Amino acid sequence: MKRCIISKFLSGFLLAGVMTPMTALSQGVEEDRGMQLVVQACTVCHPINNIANPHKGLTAEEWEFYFYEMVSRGAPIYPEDLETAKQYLIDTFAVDG
Amino acid sequence: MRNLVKDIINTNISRRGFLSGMAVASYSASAAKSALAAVEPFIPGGELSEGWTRSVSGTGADLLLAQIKETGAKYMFVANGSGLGPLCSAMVRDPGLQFIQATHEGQAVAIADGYAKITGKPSFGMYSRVGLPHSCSNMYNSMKDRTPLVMMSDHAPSSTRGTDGHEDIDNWEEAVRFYTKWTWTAGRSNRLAEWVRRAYKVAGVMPGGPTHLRIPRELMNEQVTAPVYTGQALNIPMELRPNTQEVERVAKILLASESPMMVVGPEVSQCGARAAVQELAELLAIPVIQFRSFYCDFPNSHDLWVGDNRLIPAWVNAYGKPVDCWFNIGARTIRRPYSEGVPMIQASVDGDTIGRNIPLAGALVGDLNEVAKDLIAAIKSMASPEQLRQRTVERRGKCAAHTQKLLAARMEAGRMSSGSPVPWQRMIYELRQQLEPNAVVVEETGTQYRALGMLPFGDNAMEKIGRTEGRALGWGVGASAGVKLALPDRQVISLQGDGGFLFGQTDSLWTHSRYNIPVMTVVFNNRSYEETRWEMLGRRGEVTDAGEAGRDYVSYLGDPDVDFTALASAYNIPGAVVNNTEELSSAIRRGLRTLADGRPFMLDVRTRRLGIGAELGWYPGDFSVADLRERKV
Repeated sequence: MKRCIISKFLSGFLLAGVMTPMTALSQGVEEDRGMQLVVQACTVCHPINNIANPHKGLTAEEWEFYFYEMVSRGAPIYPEDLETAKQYLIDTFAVDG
Repeated sequence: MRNLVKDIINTNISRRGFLSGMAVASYSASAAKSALAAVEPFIPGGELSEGWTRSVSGTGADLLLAQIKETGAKYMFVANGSGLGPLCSAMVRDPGLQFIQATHEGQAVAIADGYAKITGKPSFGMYSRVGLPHSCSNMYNSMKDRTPLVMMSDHAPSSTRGTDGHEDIDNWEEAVRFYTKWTWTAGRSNRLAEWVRRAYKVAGVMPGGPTHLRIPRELMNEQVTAPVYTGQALNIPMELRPNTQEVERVAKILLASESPMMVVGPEVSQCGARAAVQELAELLAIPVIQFRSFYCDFPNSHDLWVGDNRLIPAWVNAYGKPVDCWFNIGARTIRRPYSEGVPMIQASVDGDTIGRNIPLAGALVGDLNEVAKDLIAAIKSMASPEQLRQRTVERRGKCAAHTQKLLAARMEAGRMSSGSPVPWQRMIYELRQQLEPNAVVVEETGTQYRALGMLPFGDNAMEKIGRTEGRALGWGVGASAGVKLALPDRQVISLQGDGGFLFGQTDSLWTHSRYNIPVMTVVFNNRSYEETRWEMLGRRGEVTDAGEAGRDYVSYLGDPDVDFTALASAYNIPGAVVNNTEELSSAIRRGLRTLADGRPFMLDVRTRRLGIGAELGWYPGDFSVADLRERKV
């Protein structure tokens, strides 16, 4: 299941990458709000591989730590979207801790 | 312009050549004449008004000291060396200048740099002639930041020059040519004041930078009677105004722009132009991006503050319009356009670098305070308040909503972070709760500096100094001492990574302790050079060979596991170790109480490693010199 979600995540990123994440969002490519928030917020600093690389094997608690770390560094996201984006990362990438 | 000033006071060019050079560098004729009038007293044979000099009789060192004091300097940043002997004797005869001593030359420069970054005036320093190489790392930092310093040393006796003698090489000046605006070896004792004045002048003219003066020992001991230049002769008005026609042209471009973006850099602060630049941004509701800077050049909790350049797309998305005009004001080192085909305007005090990397649609050379004020006046002459309101009301509202939401999310992330080891962002969040509203933060960290966005910086808020543009580690601890010296009535904290702290600057704790410098040094101790590890084990999302093998050759710092509070204790500085977020608040409170009592403090915060290789325990620690021995000696 997670493999399937990751594949969707990457293809979503590739599509967003053609148009830039921001324009993709504004043009209504909105299959998954969480995925798009993550793409939008994270790729301003680093390649998407840094998130999607599944061998990292982070737990839910570790993903939460990383997520807040990145937002505190300025990953652009609004307060009302914090929970959605964080939960998306945990649901998609976290391993059982 | 700095080269022109250097050339004219070294008589390499004539006055006419100076004016021509200023015109070529895009300065207006009136600005060029104003600059010439300012440097006139420093040109050998130039006109000096009556009363601009006074005669001093004594040793060469007496003359040197008198000239330094005439600049208004209160402090001199020194490291030990027998070459300071004549100056020490002069201090007995003419007390009043306070020595601030470092235990080595590099830290003396760092302290001087921190002091100069706050005061905006050249700092004076002196150390042993053989200390020059040691000082170079921070001289380089100062040069990259254009920080005005006059660093002096003794020099081998004239009788032994060119003999490859004791403690000497042939061409000391060459060694620092690229780290200084001007370097000189004095040749006559009765001209020492003149050379000090010249070094001071060259260092202080915007864009500033370090100068280096070497003085053979016998000159400092010789008896002389010579002029010292008084305060009035050292007053250098350099508020140069930009070209009027270019101001009007740029004002029209900005007024016509549907989606402008201002990029601010350190020259804004160095010119004392923050208030004027803020007024200009507010007048047109121009969103502001902070380029890399060792200051915060625009208030980072302002409604128009978008953040750094990574956050441009987020603003474009929120506003719904791409940027159609970039206005770089004071960012010297932007390498390439932010977007192809979109005009860029640059305003800089540095004629040498303006337009250097990017073709410009508008170029304003001059003091940035004058540039901003002239632009404001030009814009107001072209549009009524109502017209300006109509043009900006939508952007002003959208930008405020966007930036305040980003700030709120950032603060929430800090508040929600907890655990052990301590998350970096929680530490910053806690500091925000406890620091005074006008505290000063001296930082020498990696990309974690971005979390400092939780702290409010600005003219009526906290102040940020660092990290240096040069990025040579080993600056921050010393610099924080200089900052506190310049601002004794404001809280000062120094933020360090454990790796940076160990880069030859723990020695500055000696200075903190000796002079009761109440600075709290916070070491974010994750036992790793984190960002070099990221680069070595992973590169742009791809894992390197070292990463695949799990080999962290040079970034792991956990063995030996340095006890930084024990290190501070060796300098009689109290401290605390923080292992988890529950301990944070009380430890910070204790630290701030210690500062209030007049002593420095060390906070060793055990922080979490993150990113690739964070979990690695491997390092090349299985090599032991002791095991090479065949005899146990």
